Amino acid sequence: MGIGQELRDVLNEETVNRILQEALARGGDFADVFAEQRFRTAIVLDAGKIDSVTYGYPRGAGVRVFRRNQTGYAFSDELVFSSIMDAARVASSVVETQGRKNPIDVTRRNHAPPFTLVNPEPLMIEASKLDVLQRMDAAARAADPRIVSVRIEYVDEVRDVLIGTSDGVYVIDRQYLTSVSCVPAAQSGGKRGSGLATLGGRVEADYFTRVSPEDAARRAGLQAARLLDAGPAPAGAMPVVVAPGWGGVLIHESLGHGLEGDGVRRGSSLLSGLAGTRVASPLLSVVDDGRWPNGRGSSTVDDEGTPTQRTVAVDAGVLSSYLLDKQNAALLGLRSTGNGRRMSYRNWPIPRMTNTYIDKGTSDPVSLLSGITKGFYASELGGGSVETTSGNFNFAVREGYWIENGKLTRPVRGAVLVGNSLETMQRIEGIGNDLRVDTTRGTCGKDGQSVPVGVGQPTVRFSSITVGGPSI
Amino acid sequence: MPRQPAVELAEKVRIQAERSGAQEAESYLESSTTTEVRLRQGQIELLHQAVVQGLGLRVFRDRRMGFLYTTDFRETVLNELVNRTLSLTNQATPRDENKIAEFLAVSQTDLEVNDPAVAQLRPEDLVRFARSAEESAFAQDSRIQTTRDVRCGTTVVEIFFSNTYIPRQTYRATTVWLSATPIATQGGQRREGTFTDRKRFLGDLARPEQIGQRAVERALARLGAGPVPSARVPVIFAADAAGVFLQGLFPAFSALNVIEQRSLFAGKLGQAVASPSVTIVDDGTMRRGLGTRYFDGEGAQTHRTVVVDRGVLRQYLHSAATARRMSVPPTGNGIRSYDSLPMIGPTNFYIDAGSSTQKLIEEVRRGLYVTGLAGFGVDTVSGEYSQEVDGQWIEKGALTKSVEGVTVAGRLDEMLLGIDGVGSDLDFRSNVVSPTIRFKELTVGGGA
Repeated sequence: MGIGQELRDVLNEETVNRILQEALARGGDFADVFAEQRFRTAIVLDAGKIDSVTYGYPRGAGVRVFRRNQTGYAFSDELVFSSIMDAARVASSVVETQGRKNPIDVTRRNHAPPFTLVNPEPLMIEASKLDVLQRMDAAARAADPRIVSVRIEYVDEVRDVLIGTSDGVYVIDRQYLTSVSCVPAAQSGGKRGSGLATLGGRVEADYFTRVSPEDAARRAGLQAARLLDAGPAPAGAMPVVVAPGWGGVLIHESLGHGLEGDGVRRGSSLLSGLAGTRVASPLLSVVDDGRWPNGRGSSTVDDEGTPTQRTVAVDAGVLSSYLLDKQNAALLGLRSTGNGRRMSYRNWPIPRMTNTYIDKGTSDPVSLLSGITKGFYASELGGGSVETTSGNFNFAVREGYWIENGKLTRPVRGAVLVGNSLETMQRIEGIGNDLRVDTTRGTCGKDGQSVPVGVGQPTVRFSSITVGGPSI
Repeated sequence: MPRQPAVELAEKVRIQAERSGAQEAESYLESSTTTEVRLRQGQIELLHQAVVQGLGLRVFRDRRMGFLYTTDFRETVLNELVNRTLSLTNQATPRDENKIAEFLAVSQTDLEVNDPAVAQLRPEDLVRFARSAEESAFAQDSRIQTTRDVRCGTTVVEIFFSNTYIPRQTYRATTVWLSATPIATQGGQRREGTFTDRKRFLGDLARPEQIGQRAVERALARLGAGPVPSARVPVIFAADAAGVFLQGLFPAFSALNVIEQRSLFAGKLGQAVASPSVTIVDDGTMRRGLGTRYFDGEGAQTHRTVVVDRGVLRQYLHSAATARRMSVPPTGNGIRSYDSLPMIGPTNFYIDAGSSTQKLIEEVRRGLYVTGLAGFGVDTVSGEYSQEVDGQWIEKGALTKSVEGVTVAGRLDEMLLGIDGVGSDLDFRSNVVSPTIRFKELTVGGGA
């Protein structure tokens, strides 16, 4: 069956026109209909056994109407024309102006995908997925005799979307996503530690032959064991160097959310009104790229049907672009940057990051440690959060090291790092030439909606960040 | 409220699964309507209506478990999904604990989770509540010129449960909430404060004016905040912050984490894990509780479980499977929605109220009063704790200046044993709550 055929059976160009007409019957600037069908497979391996297997098949369609800053949204779990028409009527009730009479005429658009998956991983047969999990389990256990348990979760999905908008767009897309996480726990003499490895992205079926799942699982096992012996993290403000790759969660939290158009438009983001001005060290450039190869945040079009793009948001320290969806772009007198995303058909689109990273610099990563007499090296980060009004952000470090006299010395257990976006971004002293973008583990939550994202960075050095360990 | 055919179909599909080779099967149908309005500067920014209907079906064959969920109720699709799931189930490992509940004695007492007045609220009513809250926020102080938004909403949910042994059981529950987030501005600095109330019954919800006022107090308290130097001092978590901390601690009480050696409380039953002033309860039967339900997501009756009794760890919290593995009765903590398998989660989970709240601050010569916690930081495997906080600095028993940009850290086992005061201000505005608590000494990580 063709891509999105089941969605097309209900929502062809003609029925989409009728739904959008109904949605705008009471007025409004814009309306869209978003239909979605997912097929999701999840397998959990715990204590060496296949604990559970899940198939998920959610589908439905939502209708949005907006007039300036006012939004109405309703959806139907039933992919039936009459139910979607009902949703259009409910969504339209937010607007109370004169009816719009212009006919709507959507046209099919075809956009070039950022990359093509010939044989996507989710279509693999179940037996080979189970095989990968069993191999990871064995490798994690073999990493260290102190490993006492391993939990591995595998999820993949095929997501078809159909988007029709009152500005004439009719687009259909298919998106594949695979994620594997492996969490070994180690125990010894009353101490416990856990490791983490993640694999996946929007990948081909041969991904697991090119990336060794055993190696990843072994690294997670070694990390769990290493954390048993690690000392407590330091407390207080000090020079901090953050490792490349997933460390990009730092830029995602500190500046990324503040660049999103909703907070900017409301004036609640600390970056409101700062376009064209210096907001960070001139060493810093930040890119949001919805077309990064295999990225968790990549797609052909965003969830409003706008083709994705590579946006330079901060260019050598100057704020050069916000990250925008259609509604907030219109309110700011700008154009969408392809960042209108939503968790599912049950949610309205809001401006979100895709794959966000600090662009590569020129420094040799090892040289970034030199000259630090006492500091902290964040070798692996966890998650983080930010309050965009104040710019106060935090992110957890899963594993770190002391930096003493320009060298990594003792390993330390996790701690949270905190700072203020604008202050911290002025404190960048060096950026490595070793850019890595993680495509395996990012999930960003905002306003009750979770979406997959990529983050990345090269090695980055800050003159000072507050480290929240227990040891003064 | 649910489309009637769906209720019948959910049963039909379960029976179909049993006929196609599942020895046991369980159907969980969730049907809900959520309405929310968001207001900003007196104008409706969002009107959202969500009518959800989804089915989760667990199948068991030779002690192997498979699960499917869907919102597609076309009979042919359902039958195909059942067959695919049954064949995937053959790949799973047989486990002795894979067995469904054989009987369910539903509480005959009215647990008061359904308020018809909530279901009757119209969007106009929600707008009116939100408007009063926002207007009262603006009226408080000239430094409040804007809000991020004010949100008011309702949910009415109906659950239909049945399995091979238990005929259809159902209940309906309502929730209403009102939340305000004003932004205070002073000298170029902007800080927001949020206050949320959430209740089962409309009559229990705080007045909109109070909600606006409390939120403004929180935003204003944060103006002019800055870091303090690093120190080891007494640290007080105000009630809302303590509730967030308790939420982070919950996984340590999950029997599954205990069995798999992923909890710092593994092997600690009967031992002191907190100071004698601490009693922690999970109560799925509390009248009008936000986490109250007649039965959990796998047909186990809910209970009141004293998890920590005056400092001593008495019980872990269980799903049906972990209860079977540890040979104890289930506690009714198999929490789920239709699209997830039952996972061990809290019902109404709280630290029981102590004596006085004000005294906790007055007794501190020099320390930190924490009103907000942000981000991740509770590691219930290793027992490490480190989190971003904001609040007020305490000097000689009184709150002095506002603090932000600092961390607090400690080892969870030492922290809990070192709780030397529990306040009386327990307020059920969430299903996981705590009164104000005081830790004898934590590390505050501050600026240079």
